[in-house]
Order: sequence, then structure tokens, then C-alpha cells
Amino acid sequence: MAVTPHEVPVAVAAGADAWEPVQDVRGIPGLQLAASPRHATVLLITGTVPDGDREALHRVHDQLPRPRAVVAWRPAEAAAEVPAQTVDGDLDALVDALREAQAAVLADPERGTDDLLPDTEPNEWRGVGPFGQGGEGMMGGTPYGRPMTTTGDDHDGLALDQLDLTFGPFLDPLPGGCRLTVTLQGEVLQEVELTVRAADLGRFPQPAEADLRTARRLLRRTAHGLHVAGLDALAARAAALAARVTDDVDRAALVRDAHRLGRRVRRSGLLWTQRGVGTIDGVDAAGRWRARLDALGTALDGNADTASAPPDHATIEDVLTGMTLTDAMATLVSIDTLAPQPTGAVAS
Amino acid sequence: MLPAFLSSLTVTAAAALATAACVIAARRTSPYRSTAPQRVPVLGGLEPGTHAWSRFHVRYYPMTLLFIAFEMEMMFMYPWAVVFVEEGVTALAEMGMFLGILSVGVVYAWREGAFRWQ
Repeated sequence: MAVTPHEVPVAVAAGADAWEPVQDVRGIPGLQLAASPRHATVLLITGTVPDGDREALHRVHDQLPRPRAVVAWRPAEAAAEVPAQTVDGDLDALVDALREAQAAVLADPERGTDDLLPDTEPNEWRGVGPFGQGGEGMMGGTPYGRPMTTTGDDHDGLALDQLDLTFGPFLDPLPGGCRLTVTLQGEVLQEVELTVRAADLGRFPQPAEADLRTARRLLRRTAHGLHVAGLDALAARAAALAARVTDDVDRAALVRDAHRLGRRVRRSGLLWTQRGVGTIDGVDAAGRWRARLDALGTALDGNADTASAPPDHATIEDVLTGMTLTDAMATLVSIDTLAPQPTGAVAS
Repeated sequence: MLPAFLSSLTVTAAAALATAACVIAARRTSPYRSTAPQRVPVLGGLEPGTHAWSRFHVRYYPMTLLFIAFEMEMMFMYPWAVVFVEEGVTALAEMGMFLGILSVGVVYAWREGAFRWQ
């Protein structure tokens, strides 16, 4: 996508506790949360990045094309290893910092940050074998340090290769703190393991009233889900609404605009595309989207307790198994609450 | 014969030269090279566990096979129809041979289940 000089493409590396507040950036004109670090000039680091995710953070940093700038918004200590300009203020301060960081680094590329990981392949290219793959025949060998794939039966009874991949912790379509470890055959998920980190949401200022907290959470989830569905204009509306939710908000205006947003989402065709996708307890993704929009209305009417019990991981993993990657992501973003695993169980 | 080829050769050579010039100019002028971490697929910070060189099922393959078999048939049948009357039985025999070879492909597609509605 072409980027005009006024647009600031931002890659986000957010800890689980800061992922929701960052969604508000989607509502700011001229800023875009890039789907890939390769499309971004500014890396935004925010929240608590656990020690186990530090190398992942460094890799995401290195994957931004040079010259790149780094802004840290209310970072915890672990993020401090990346040289960054730190912002402690609210969303407005963050937006200013992001704009300034891009302007500064484009004006003087020397100010861009250097690579954090060594520029070496995991293994040297050895050029052994008929195709230089480091082994005999089509199988075997470890080209560039990665083993070749193993084979397994696909649903047509053919023995085809399986890719072992872990998505996350800083992948745009995944909700904060999520990691999705999959065995992928073609584009079908054959084995799925989901891990979710617990998040202390008190790190960022929260509205005092519980119903507003719920409404804001739902709006942020809506913004992210709409973005993943490719409806970025609607996502921007939802995020702009989320940013307005504070204790001194004009509630009548907010209710009106939220209804309007809900109407637009229902008319967008999104619910139609999500029919029959990821059915959990008899409710498909379209049903969950409908429930989310309803819950938003209920929360703004003053009823905070609209959340149903989050589905457990085994159920989600069962549903995702056999899906295409696209459907799996659509299913994950349609779930309002992903329960964190016990902290000890999350591999770091 | 040569002059006819000369023009297309010139165009090919010019295109190759222009491409090479662009690639070399980009390498010379760009201050940045991609690094090893940048060449890794973006997964959100982690590296893939296996090499991306893998075999997967090309599901559109039977359709492609059928398309090529029938499309090739039609492509040669149009010019053939124009000269059929003046060439007579020779043209008929040649087309018969051609269709015979093509039908092997169709039979193969049949064996692969391309005509089965699933």
C-alpha cells in the first residue's frame, strides 16, 4: 500500500496488558497499525514484555525496514532493552510522539535504530545435495538451519508436508497475549495449541464505572475484529468511539454513535460472511459478533455484566482444528474474552 | 528470416539490459541490505520450526489438466477448420492424430477423478 508522507504506519509490539489500549490508535486519522512490521516505519512497544518474548520483540524490531524509529508507551522494564523514545502520557501524547518519531527518522535516517539481532543465518548454507538443500534427495538436510518438514496424511489421504509454526506474540490479527502453535498442511490447521497470557489491565487508566469499562473493552475488541475482517474504515470508527469512553463522556451522544456503528457493522455484510464459522456451543462467529454488538448496547444502557463465560482452551482448539488459517483468525477475533492460562502453564 | 527475428531479439536484449540496470542501480544506491531476521517470514516475532520447502496439494490441478486438454483442442481446431476444405483428408488424419494424443490426457484426467463431482 502506498504511504503518503502524512501517514504513519506503525508496527505494534504490545504486552498482553497494553494490547487493548493500543487499539485506540486505529481511530486516529493518518496513523495506521500496519499488518506487518515490514510495512511500518515506527515500532510501538508498550506494556509488559515478558523475558521469554524478548527475542521475539527484537526480531519484530529488526523486521522493520531501515530507517526505523521506536516509541515506547508506558513500557515495563523488559522493553527497555530496545533503544526507544519513551512516552508516559495519554493517547494524544502517544500520537504526537509517533508522528514526530517518523518525521525525525525520515529527515535524518542516521537517527534510525540499529539491528538488535546478529545478521547471520541460523546455519550456514552448505550447498550439499542435488538442490543444495544440505541432504540427500528431496528430504533430509537442514537448509539454513531449519529441518525439512515431516509428512502426514491430509484429508484426501495423501501424505503431504506439515509446517510447524507458532504465530505470536506480536502478530497483528491475534488478540493480545495470544500465541497460536499450529501444524499447518496447505492452509489447513491440523494441530492447534492456544496459549494466552494473563494481563493486568490496571496498567492503563480505566473509567471508574464498570459499564463504561465493559463498553470500552467491547469497542476495542470490535475495532480489532473489524480490522482483521478488512473493514478498516469501520474499525477506525469503533476505535474513535473507544477513545471517547471516559468518565466524563457525553453518554447520550456515545449511545447514539454506538448504535450507529452497530447498524453499520450489521449492514456491512460481515455477519453474513461469518455464518457457520467456528461454532462453539452452538453459536457461530456471526452469532458472537451479534452478541458483542448487543452487549455493547446493553453496557451503554448501564448494565456492565454482559459477558458470558469465556470458552475454555480445549474447546477453542477443537474448533480451530481442521479450519483454514483465515477462518481460525476470524474465529479468535470473534471471541470476546480469551481466558488466560494459569501463569505457570504458559511457556516463556 | 534473420531480420524478422532481429527485431524481437533487440527487444528481448533491451528488456534484459534495462532489468539488469535497474537491479544493479538499486544495489549500488540503496544504503540498506536485508538482514537474516528480515528474511524470516513474519510470524509475530518467532521463527518457523521447519523449512518452507514443502509439498502441498495443488487442488486445482485436475481442473487445469482438463482446461488445457480442451482449450488446446479448440485452439488448433479453429485454424484447422479454415484450411480443412482445401487440405481434405490429410487435414482430417492430422487432426485425428492430434485428438488421439490429447484424449490420452483426458483419459488420464478421468482416471484421476477429474469428472467426479465431489
